Amino acid sequence: MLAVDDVAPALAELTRLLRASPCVAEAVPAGDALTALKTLQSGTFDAVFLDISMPGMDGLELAKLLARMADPPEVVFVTAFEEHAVSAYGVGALDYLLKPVAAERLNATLTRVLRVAGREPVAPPPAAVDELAAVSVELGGRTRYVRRADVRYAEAQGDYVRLHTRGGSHLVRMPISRLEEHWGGVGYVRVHRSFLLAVSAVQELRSDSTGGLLAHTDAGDVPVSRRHARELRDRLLEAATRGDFGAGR
Amino acid sequence: MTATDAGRRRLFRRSGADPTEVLAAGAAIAADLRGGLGAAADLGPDPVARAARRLRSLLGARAVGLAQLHGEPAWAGRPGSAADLVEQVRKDGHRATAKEAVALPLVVRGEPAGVLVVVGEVGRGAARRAADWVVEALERSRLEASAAAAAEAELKALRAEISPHFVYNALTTIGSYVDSDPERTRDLILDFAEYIRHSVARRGEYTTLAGEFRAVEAYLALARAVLGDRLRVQVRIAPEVLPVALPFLALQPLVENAVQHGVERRGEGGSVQVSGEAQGSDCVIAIEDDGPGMDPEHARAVLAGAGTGGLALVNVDRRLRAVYGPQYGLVIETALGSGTRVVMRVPRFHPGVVAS
Repeated sequence: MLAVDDVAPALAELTRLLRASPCVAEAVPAGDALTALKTLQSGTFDAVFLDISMPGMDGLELAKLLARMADPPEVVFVTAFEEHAVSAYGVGALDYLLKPVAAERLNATLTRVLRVAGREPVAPPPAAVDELAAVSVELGGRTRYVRRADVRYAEAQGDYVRLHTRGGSHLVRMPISRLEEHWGGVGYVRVHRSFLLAVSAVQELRSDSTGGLLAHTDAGDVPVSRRHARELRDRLLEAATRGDFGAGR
Repeated sequence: MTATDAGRRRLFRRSGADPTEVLAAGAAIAADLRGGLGAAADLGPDPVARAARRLRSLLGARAVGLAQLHGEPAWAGRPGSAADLVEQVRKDGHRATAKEAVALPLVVRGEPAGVLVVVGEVGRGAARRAADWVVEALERSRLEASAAAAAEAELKALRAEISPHFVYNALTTIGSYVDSDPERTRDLILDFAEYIRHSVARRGEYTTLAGEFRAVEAYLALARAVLGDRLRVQVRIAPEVLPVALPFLALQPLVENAVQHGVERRGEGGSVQVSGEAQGSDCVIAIEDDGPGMDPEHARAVLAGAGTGGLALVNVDRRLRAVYGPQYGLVIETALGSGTRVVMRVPRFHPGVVAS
């Protein structure tokens, strides 16, 4: 990864955040466009994180130059103004980040970079997802099935997950990370270290005095960690824009 | 017979002395000059040239010219050598005459604004009256323009209304965490950036309720850091109203208002509750505090723009009504000693209201 910004502390912070991410092997700072171009010639980079407003050649101009390279790196703009986002996508940027950059937002971007750069295993095939469209549970010595559509949220309990439905909850021997792998693509989102939530099950978002966030469902309240709050909000907005929540309840 | 009488006769001669026609022509000339003498000619027919034509037929003149301080005058008819008079008046600011032509300075509120040239057999009085009429029209157009600019400036000023008091308190608080809790410091700085970004944004006129709530959460995170246990907050929002489009800063100032008046000014603190939900085709947002409340009469006066204070409320109320119609203003439920509840109702879908 290459980070470009003319403001030294901003550059240091961006480089630090990049290096702190487990997805990043190496992060190189560059204080201006020219240094950036020289650095790019010295090795291969998956992505360039570009400040837009810089003296001399600005970020947009540099991005236009990069686009003409034989195997250009992905470009992510780092800017103070959302207005710039439109021009950012105009020059083929993968994403843009608002200054100051939040670690969790940066990680979401890095995931996209890796996916595009083909460094991450492709999502599990649909067949594997359907495997878990229903989960078998032991109840009084008999095997029953819980339909995924009924599960409002799942809660990690050691090596088990507890699947919460309107009618009650069921314990299944499976790590929550495995469940997330299968259900992540079908409307479930990790909102906490121990909770996986069905986006469409959310009836209300509640935040309290401590700043903690809760997602209210008809099977109970689910805590949302600060790290995951933004993603949940974005997913809810998407779902609501699609009309997933009907005409009101 | 005085010169004025002669002028009046001349003024009425070509227009058939029909007062209705003369008045209509006067009104039309005033309307043409609404944009001033420099009104853009590239958007359809030049209104200043039209005004010159109307003046020419009203006065029965051979030619009439209207000139700004610089550039080509707008002529109706052929001025001939009288065109030179324009420069002369522009230079010395006094009336100039030539054979069968007079050029009069147009002075608007004590400042030269242009020149009127009348060519032909037109009485001096008539030409002077025509100049007075043009000056009056220009004065009116300036007043209108400055009133519109003032209204726009007021809206802009209200949009960018950030309480310096809050900004310094927030910065001081953030500073106090630098050593003890660097991670919280970083989070608060991100909240601060979000708050400022939303407050000074110069984007389209509308945002989503999700965007407005993001700014509210950022503000509340900072306010919690500043006020500590004194501020108790609960925010509840139903996901189906997140995409609702509404004017920028329609909600956040109301929350700030509730925290300032309901909590900050009371030593023992207080609680603020914010909720957003769908009710049929409307989205209903309520901001409630358990502060000192106010006399309902006072609340009514504030919304009517008559009371003191409550700038945030008035501003939001006015913008909502302007966008959605008179039935969509704020409703304030309050009484002395029993808190304040501000309810905002906006249509979930409204033609022309689209978040940028």
